[in-house]
Amino acid sequence: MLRVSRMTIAAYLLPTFLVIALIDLYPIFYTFNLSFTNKSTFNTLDNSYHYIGVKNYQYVLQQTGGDFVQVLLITAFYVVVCVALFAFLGLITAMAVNHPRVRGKGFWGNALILPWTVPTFVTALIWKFLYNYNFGPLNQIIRLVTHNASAGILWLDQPTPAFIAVVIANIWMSYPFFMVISLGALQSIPADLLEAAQVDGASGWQRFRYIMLPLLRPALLPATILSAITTFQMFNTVYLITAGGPFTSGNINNPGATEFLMVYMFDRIQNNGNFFVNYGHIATVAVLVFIVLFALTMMSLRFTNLARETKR
Amino acid sequence: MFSQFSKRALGLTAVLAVATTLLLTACGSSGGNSGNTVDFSGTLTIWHDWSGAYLTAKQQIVQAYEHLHPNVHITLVNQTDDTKTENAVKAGTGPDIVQDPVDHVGTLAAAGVIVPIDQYESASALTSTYTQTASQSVQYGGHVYGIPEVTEILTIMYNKKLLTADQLPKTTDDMFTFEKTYSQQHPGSYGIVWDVNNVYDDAGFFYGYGAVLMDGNGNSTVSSQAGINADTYIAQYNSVLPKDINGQTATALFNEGKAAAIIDGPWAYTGYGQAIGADNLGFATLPVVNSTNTPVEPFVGGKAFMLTKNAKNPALAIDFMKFFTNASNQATMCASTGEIPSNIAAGQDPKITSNTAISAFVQQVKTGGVPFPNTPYMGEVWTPLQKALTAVWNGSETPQAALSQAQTTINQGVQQIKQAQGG
Repeated sequence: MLRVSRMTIAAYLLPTFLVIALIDLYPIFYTFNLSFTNKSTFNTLDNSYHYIGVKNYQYVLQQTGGDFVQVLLITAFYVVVCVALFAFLGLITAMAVNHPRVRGKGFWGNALILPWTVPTFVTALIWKFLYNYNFGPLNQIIRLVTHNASAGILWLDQPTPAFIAVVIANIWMSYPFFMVISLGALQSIPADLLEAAQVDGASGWQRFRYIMLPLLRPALLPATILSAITTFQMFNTVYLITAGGPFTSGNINNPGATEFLMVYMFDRIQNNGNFFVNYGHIATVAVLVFIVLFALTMMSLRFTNLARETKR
Repeated sequence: MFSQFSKRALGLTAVLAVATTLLLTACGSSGGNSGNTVDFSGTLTIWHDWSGAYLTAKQQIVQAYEHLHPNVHITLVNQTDDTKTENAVKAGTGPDIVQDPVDHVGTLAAAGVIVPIDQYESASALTSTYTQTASQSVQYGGHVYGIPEVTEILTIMYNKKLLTADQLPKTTDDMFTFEKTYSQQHPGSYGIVWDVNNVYDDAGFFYGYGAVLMDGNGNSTVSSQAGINADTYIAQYNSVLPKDINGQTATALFNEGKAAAIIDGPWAYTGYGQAIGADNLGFATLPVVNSTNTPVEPFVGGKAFMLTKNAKNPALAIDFMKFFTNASNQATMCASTGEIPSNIAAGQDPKITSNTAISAFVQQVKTGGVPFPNTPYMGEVWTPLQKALTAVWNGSETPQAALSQAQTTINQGVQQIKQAQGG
């Protein structure tokens, strides 16, 4: 038996611990500490900022009061809609590609995964152009079909179309992920299982419901949770297409129809593009968002563990 | 007696002569370095926002300075993030000079990132060398904080192939009528386009109607009747302009000849010249508001050099700033970049007066324009007002409702800054 002293183990682990402490823990505690101070642009240089207790939390929750909750709700809605749609689309396309009569499976698999491989900002900008009211291909098609030169949807300047627009763009770039996961899981289902069911007289729906779906579950559940987390934290796609808009009110605390959590936080961090930055407030918003995301991650971990247990 | 008198006279003359010489010397050097001897050696680091053709024109001046003072080395860094500047200055690794838009002066000064330069350039010396607005733009809280580099303003640029000068509207009512009739006569095309929901672009209308976006004390009147009138005027263009118009769309329309005119600034005119042909580009001043009989007054802003707190050789830095903005350097540089010189003498140089673009922008400054507020409070105006403009443009809210909400937010923001400043 190999004998290693505790000191040796500690010595080997020390560099990693140091790096983690420096890169992860220090900024976290620094931010936490900052959220209790009045640090801003004006007192950074001479370090004259000081602790002000929970005033920042009072300010952020009162000033932004309603809108933080509102932002959380629209973000949650966006996540549910997006994840449901791309799980559905991904599964359908995977089953189509996996169908025994489909030829050129490799080609279809690669072709369908293409949207996923394009950098998201490129996709976002392409969609932004597609949605353009005057020159966007989508409205041009609508005008062609309806023979009405003034027809067209104001995609990005009305709340509901803008929301639908960012959902569509997100589905376009995210469903291939689900397709790949589903395809892999589908291919691991033994063909003789399905054949045996067919011989026993199971209908197509029954084979899907009672054989495929239970076998797909262990793969799909974690994928769904992962997608939900990434969608929850989605920033660049939404920001590039709508920048959180359309804004329907002069009230800055009335969030735009697509001002999801990360876009909202980004706007707060930028303090709307000002050089004057209230670091205390930003740190407070960051801590609050962290609490929300931490709770969600903990919840999702529970689900993932459940999924693992079902697999066993 | 006579000799005594003559002795006295001689003595007096001598004293006078000495005094005059001293005075002359003082005057002479006050233009340069305020009597202090400048140590012409070491490195000057400048953080700037120049790029492309602009950078080339500016590098030439930098090289000329290095040639003049072989022991001085100048490092140019393209860096425009003020927060980075603050952190770098705090760490003692910041630049000696920042070249920044003048509306940042107040915040940078209040943060202590830049320091007053009154001892090198008094307010009166500044005003005698640089234009009134340019001089004003670098003064904050009773101190001089920089040397103005260039001036910028919005004006109307039009496509001579589509319009003649006399067709351009003289008043705001004319402008709306022109917009309607032009679109009717040329389906799919537009009259005058601009970034309608951009606060900077719309500021001229607000001031023309009599509203003040922000003054030095933190007062703003965006939600006054004047402000409501301005926003109502802007929002009616929704019926004649592309509904989702923004800066990019406006530029694309003008470049493709689908818009006859555009409201834009000096930074953009070279691009338009390339797209529609420099000879086809005409200029006109912004119209007069009918109800107030005041011209539309866009912000007169620009860029300036400022001295940072950790500048190692302030006298040298100031000397460089003055060299950079002297009459001959400014005339040559602006003739190539198309920017408006901040130096009065440069503005009278034939190279500048013969340049149609610069003359047009200078004409706009003379016709109508308000100094770009350089107070930190101005920063609180952008987002709330932009959201209000958007909400009114989209028809989600009335100008009254949107602007009064924006006003509340702006006032809160100003309050927040005052608290942060300990005021």
